[in-house]
Amino acid sequence: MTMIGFFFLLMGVSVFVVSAIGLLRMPDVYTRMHVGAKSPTVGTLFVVIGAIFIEPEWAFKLILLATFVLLTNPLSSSVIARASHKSGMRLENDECIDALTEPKEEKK
Amino acid sequence: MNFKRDIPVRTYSGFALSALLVLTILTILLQSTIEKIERAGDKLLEINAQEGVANAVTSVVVYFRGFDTLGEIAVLFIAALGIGLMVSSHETVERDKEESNFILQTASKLLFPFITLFGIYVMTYGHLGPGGGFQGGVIIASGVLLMLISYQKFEVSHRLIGALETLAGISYVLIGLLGLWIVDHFLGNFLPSDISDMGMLISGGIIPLIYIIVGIKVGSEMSMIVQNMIQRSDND
Amino acid sequence: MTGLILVGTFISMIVVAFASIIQKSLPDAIILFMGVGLGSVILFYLFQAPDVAMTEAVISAGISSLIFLMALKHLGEES
Repeated sequence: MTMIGFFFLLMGVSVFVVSAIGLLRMPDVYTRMHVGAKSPTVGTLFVVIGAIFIEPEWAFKLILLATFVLLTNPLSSSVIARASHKSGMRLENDECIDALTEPKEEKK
Repeated sequence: MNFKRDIPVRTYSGFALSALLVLTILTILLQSTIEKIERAGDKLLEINAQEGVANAVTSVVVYFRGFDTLGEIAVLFIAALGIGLMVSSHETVERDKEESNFILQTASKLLFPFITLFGIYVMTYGHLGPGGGFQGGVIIASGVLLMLISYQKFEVSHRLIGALETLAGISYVLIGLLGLWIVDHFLGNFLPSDISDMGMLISGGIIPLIYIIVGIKVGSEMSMIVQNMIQRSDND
Repeated sequence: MTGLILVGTFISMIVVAFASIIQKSLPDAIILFMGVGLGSVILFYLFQAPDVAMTEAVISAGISSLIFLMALKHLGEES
């Protein structure tokens, strides 16, 4: 039981390490936000699952914690991404489709 | 948003002073052994064992530092009053800004009850685990902040906040004076608090009562500060 | 081990605080000031005061930075 828990903890930590490398490698704000917001969510979930395996008595509180992480983390990252789009951050690669600006330009 | 500023020469002299301070604190940190820290805590725990409160910190805050807490609440009240006076405007508030993101609106509608519930939990379980009035009140205020950011029309009514705050302030002083009358010191514990009840929700004498009052007061003051700041900055 | 973490947090807090003072743009200084708040949360927790750590987390990350940013917006370009 404890070994399975440690295995999940190790997986979570490795996801965190990958996201840290990605944070250094990515070129612009949005791709950095991609690695800085999504992979920590997955990593936290793995760590929580590992903790449930190690301490089964805390399962309820830990599942609650995981639910709140799942609710709040994508929300905050999406809000930050929108804010940076509004304040005029451009993509590194301009040939991409920018879906957020196109509808507004059509209205004008 | 592009604010630039120059760094004056006296900042660097400030650096030198703070470096001195840092060295002093570091030497104190490195010299203090664990035994020295434990000696002060033991006496407080000895007194705490007679009061029957599970969380020793709260018994210190309410019983030994109760009068200071009254002062802290007064300071917070003065700060809220000052901000209200400074940013208040006579023109009617009309927030005709662009509505915020749909995702944010839905999620904050979902999260607001949970944040408030967590604040109330922290408030009422202050004598059993980490938490207390200040913490609970501030958590509720942060929930109000989330709603204020996501909904342009959301508003906490001034009348309700004023009524809650005055009621909480008056009842804090009244409970303190009741303690003075019955147990002959301010905020004395006049409710029964047996050690056998330790760890139950209703235990620890007047501590849960005081914490709920402090939580209501701090929560309403903080929400008022936040609301004033946000509405005013939307107006310009 | 705990003492090592403590001293490390303390030193990093000082570094972040200095960076916040040196910083030329005020919004960046506010963000760095939030970093100082994070360090003090860790310190309070290590000193076994989770009550204070909780308050500090909510105040430093949420409310005080909001008030600073709103005041900055309020003052405008004059500062």
